Amino acid sequence: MISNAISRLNDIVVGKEMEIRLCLTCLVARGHLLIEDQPGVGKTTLAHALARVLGLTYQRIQFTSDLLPADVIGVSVFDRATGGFRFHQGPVFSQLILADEVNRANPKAQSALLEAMEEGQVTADGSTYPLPMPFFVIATQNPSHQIGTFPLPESQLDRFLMRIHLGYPDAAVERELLTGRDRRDLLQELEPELDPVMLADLQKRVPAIHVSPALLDYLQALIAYSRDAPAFETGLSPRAAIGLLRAAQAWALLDGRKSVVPEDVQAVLAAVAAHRLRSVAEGGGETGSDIGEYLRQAVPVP
Amino acid sequence: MSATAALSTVKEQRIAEVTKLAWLIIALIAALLPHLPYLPVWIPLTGFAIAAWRLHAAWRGNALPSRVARLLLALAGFGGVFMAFRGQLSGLNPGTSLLAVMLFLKLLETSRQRDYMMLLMFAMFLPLAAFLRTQSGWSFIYLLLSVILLFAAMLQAGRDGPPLPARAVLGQSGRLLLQAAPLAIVLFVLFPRLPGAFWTLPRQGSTGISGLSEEMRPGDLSKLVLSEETAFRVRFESDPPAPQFRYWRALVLEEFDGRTWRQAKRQSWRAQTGAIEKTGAEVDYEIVLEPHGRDWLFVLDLPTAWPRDAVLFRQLHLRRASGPVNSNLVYRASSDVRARESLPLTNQIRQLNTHLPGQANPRSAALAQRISAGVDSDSAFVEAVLGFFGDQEFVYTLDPAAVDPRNPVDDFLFETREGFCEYYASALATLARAAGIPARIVTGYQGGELNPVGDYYMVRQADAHAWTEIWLADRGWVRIDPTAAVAPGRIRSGIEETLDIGGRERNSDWQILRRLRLYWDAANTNWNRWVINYGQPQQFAVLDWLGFARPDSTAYIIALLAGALGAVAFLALWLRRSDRPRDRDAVAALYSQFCERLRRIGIQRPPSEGPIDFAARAIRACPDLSAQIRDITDCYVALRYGTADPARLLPQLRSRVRRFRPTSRHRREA
Repeated sequence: MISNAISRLNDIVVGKEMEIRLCLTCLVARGHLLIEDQPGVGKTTLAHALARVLGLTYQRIQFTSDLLPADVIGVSVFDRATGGFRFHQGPVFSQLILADEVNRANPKAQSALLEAMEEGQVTADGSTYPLPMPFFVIATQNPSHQIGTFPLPESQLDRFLMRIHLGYPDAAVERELLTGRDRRDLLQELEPELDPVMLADLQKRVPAIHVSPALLDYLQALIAYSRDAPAFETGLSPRAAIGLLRAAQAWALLDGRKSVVPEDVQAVLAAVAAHRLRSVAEGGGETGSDIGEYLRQAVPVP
Repeated sequence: MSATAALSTVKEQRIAEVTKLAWLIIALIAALLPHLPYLPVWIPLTGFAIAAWRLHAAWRGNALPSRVARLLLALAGFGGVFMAFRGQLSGLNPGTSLLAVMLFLKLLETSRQRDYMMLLMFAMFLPLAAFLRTQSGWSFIYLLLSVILLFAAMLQAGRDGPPLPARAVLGQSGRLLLQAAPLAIVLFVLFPRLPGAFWTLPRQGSTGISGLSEEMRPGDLSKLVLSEETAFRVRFESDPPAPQFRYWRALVLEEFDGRTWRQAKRQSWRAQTGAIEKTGAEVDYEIVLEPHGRDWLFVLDLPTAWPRDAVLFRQLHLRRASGPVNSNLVYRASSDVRARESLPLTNQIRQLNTHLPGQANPRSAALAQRISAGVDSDSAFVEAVLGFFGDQEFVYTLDPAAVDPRNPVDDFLFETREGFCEYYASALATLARAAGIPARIVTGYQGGELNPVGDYYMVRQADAHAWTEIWLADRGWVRIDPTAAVAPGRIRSGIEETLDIGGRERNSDWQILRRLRLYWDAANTNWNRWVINYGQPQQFAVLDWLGFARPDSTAYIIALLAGALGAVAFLALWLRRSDRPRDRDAVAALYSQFCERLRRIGIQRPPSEGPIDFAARAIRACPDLSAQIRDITDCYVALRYGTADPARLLPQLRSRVRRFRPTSRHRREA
């Protein structure tokens, strides 16, 4: 069922199986996802395909510098018929949201979205509106050195369970993209493989995946190393530790295992840890996977 | 992994390794320092060179010497020590030399944590051995610091991550030492002691120890008087005797060849003290004796009670039965300063004590005859000779003119007329013997300075003294000190007041220094009395005081060992009790056995590789073994990370690993 979903997605976003797995893992672990990459590598396609395959309602919000919080969460308007204000739900009231180019918006609009992500609900004009379940945000971000961006601060980066890069396709895949059918057509034909109930069921099974003391030793050793190592400015937070554990459990679940093995932790490590660590190396030139790989190699598996 | 990240990892590892090595080397050198004066000079030189090379190699990542090279070096080091000590390998100096050489050579193969720990464990013997050399309070403090450094190096070596900053690691090792202190104190007080100071090794000769010698020649004592060293310290338990009675006798010299006084060749023990007529005014005292490398003990003239392991000789001097005093010795004795000895003089002894060599000192003999003719008793003769010293303007000086070695007494009495106490004592004894009166020389110390801080007297080498004993028929051996006739102040107020040694100015700075010295001396004396001298008798006293009956030492040792073993066993069980670590440990051990077997055929698991990834890689390298590798890995993963029942799966894993015998034939050619 999950593997079906993965193979369907693979047909659309070619050559990115690892990234697709990470997306699903993130979703199953109830985390939000940040994709950081150049425009045009298929971020939107991936998000759209995910929504179709999982059978989720989908909204896309294009973040711009003049975006207002109300454009995200909705606005109260006067209803002539009832003689009162009525809340018009914004695009955030959707099961899967693609927050496109989130670092182009001003911090005010960014934080409106991020608050919704954190709380699972939206408060407007004194009333609280719950967001639908499941609620999954895929935010995309241009590399922060591009002009006209407001980079997300560390505290907000920490709210994303994972950050992944899609990267350019390799030559064979590119050839397939060039010669194959239009992706938009393919998307239209995509049938759902899952539904929200099944997804909720999967999400519930994640914390039940067995975690042995030996694995916890390894996980804690990773966290401790990130805090002690002089290579990083700051270590991983307890929230990151919990995130790492949940993501590893979800990865094990998607792999069809009943217990977590070190490889599960290593598979999600770069995606979970890299955006929360900053290398002290000058310029911070390392990409996320470099930092994750450095951390992985530094800590022995017990 | 990008190039920058790889570089930073490697660089960090280098820095960590060099730091650990530097700590190790510093601790090693600090532990070696107290031994340096006693080692052949090539040992520290090559040692430091090896250490520097090792640091350089660690920094550059150079390979360490091969096994053969290390073996050759070790043999060369052994041979070097063997040659340096001419084949004698037992003893403190050869032992520490060998230890030092091997410790430095061990640096050449020290790369893993285990090597570090082993090296540091062995380095712990260096401070221990240093304690055999000297047991003073200062050196004890230094040795504690050196142990703290060794602990710190151990802490650094035991770390997996980057090294800690110096302050943190030194603080932690200081705390460790403090935590160990209570146990050390309990062991110090209660651990069974052998009678005697068992850690005292025989010294190589008695070089460097100043003190009285067994012979006395003109000029011997004046050399000693310049020494500031303390000979011994005395604590009186009752009122101390007046200064003119503070004669500490050590040796009695009876043979005289005209120049040198020696001990009688035939020494006989004295069974009883019955011949000493006590006057009832005894003083009890305790002496803390500095090591002087000889076996005689000092007592106040005349002894009435002395330590059990000392033997009193006919001439009333004491020798220690258990050999030379090579470490601080504390003993108690009693004396009666007015007592008289009334043992009858045998003919043989009379002959010995009136003998003079035929040709030497003829003018003295003539003088003795002249004086003898004019007096009617032996005591009057002595009075007359003392009067002669007083009348003839003899000078008491540390720096007398040289005397003719053939007739030193003549030369002194009639030509130079200046001398130190041994000149006067020798002259008086010679004159008395020439007149047929038995006379002999006693050497020892006279006086002593009160240390008001510790309420004891310090007797220095500068207080060395020699006097004469004359046999008077009605009184036995009588102490006659001719120095008192020449320089009465020497006896009453001490040598420093009389001669102003070194011409010190008695200003306030000097007084402060003197005061400090007194404090330091008091601290050191207490250290010697209570710590160094703590032996079996003191331990029994402590046990008595604690309310234990005096234990039979075998039963005591057994009880103590049983207690220690019990405590260790309890601790071990208690530590084992968490989370069935035995099963987990067995699983890990089996898996590392599996990895080790694959490593031997060139498939190595980096520490950060998970078991499943490793298995996949191993199967790619040896497809023939895929079933076995997969089975073992599945078993291991289920046991270690899954919920498998160890009772069922562990035997399976064990038998599979046992059967797993990969050889290089299994490897697919790359």
